Amino acid sequence: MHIPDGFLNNGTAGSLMGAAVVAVGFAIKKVRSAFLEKVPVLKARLATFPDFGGGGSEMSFQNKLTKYGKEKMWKMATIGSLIFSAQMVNFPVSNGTSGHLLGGVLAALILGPFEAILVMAAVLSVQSFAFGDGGVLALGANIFNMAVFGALGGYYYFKFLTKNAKDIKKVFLKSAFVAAWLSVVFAAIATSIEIALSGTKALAVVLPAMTLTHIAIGFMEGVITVVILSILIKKNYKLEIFNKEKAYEE
Amino acid sequence: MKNNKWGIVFIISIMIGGALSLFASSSPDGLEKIAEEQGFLDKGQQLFASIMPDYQVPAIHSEIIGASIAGIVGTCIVFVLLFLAGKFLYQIEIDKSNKEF
Repeated sequence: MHIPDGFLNNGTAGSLMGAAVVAVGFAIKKVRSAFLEKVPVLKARLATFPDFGGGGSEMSFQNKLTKYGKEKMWKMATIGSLIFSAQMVNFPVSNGTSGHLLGGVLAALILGPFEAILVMAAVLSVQSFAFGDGGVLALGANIFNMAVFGALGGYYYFKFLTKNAKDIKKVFLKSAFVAAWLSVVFAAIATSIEIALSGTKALAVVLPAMTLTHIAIGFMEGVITVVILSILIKKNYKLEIFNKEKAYEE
Repeated sequence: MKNNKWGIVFIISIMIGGALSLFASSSPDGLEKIAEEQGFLDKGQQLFASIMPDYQVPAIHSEIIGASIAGIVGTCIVFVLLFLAGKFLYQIEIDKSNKEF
C-alpha cells in the first residue's frame, strides 16, 4: 500500500507530511516521557531489596534506567527489522495481485502504540529513501496511513475489542487478528480518500476496489500477526500489551 | 540474557529478508494493481534516485543475489537506525535526570 510519488498532489502530500511530522514528534515525546515515569517504580522496588546493587541506591538506580532503555532499544530495533523483512515477503491474494504484511498492530502489541509509530515510520523511511518503495514526497501520507492509522489506530481497535474482556489473554489472539485485519482495511480506505482528494481518480471508483482487495490482504495480515504473536508468547517474550505498569497515558 | 532473546528475532529477520523474501510473489500489490486497472499507474514517478531501487543492488547482475543482499542490507539499516534513534532519545533523558537528581 506504499503510495509512490505522483499519485498525490502537492497539497495532499504536504498536509499529510505535516500531520506525520506532528504524529512522530508526539510519539517521540510519549516514548521519552515513558522513560522518566519509570523512575519512581524502580526506586520503590529497589527500596524493598536493599541488597540489590549493593547499597548506594542512587548508583543502582541509574544503572536500572540504562538497562530499561537498552532493552527498549533492542526491542524496537529488532521488531523494526522483523517488520521490514516481513514486508518484503509478498503473498499472492487473487488474480495477479499480491499483498504483504504491514505490521502496525503487531508492533503496537509488542512494543506499545507510540513505539510502534516510531518503528513503522523508520521502516517506511528506509523503504522510501533506500529502495524507492513508496514516494519521498508521499512519505508523510504513507506514515500517516500505515504508522498512525495502521499502528496507533490498530492499537485502539484492539483496545476497543478487548474493552469488556475479563481475561485479556483469552481473547488476545482473536482480537489481535481482527484489529490487524481492520487496520489494513482502514489504511486502504485512507489511501483511497487521499488519492481521490488529489484528483487522481474518483473516490467512487478507487474506494470499492481498494477496500475489496485489502479485505483479502488484511485477512492475511491477521494470520501473520497471530502466528508471530503466538510464537513470541510461546517463547516467553514480554509483550508490552501484557505489561501492567503502563509506561504512559494512552 | 534478554538481549540475546531479541537478538534471535534479529537473526530471523535477516533470514527472512535475505532468503524467504526470494520466494515472494512478484505480482503487483493491491494499490499497484488497482492503479494499473484504473489507469493511473503511469502517474507514479520516481522523483529521487534510491540506492537499491526495487530491492535490487544495481551493481549485481544476478537478481537472486541482488535481492538477497538488498533484503539483508535493508534489515540492517532499519535495525541500526532504530537503535541509534533509541540511544539518542534515551541518552538525552538520562542526561536530564542526572541534572535533576
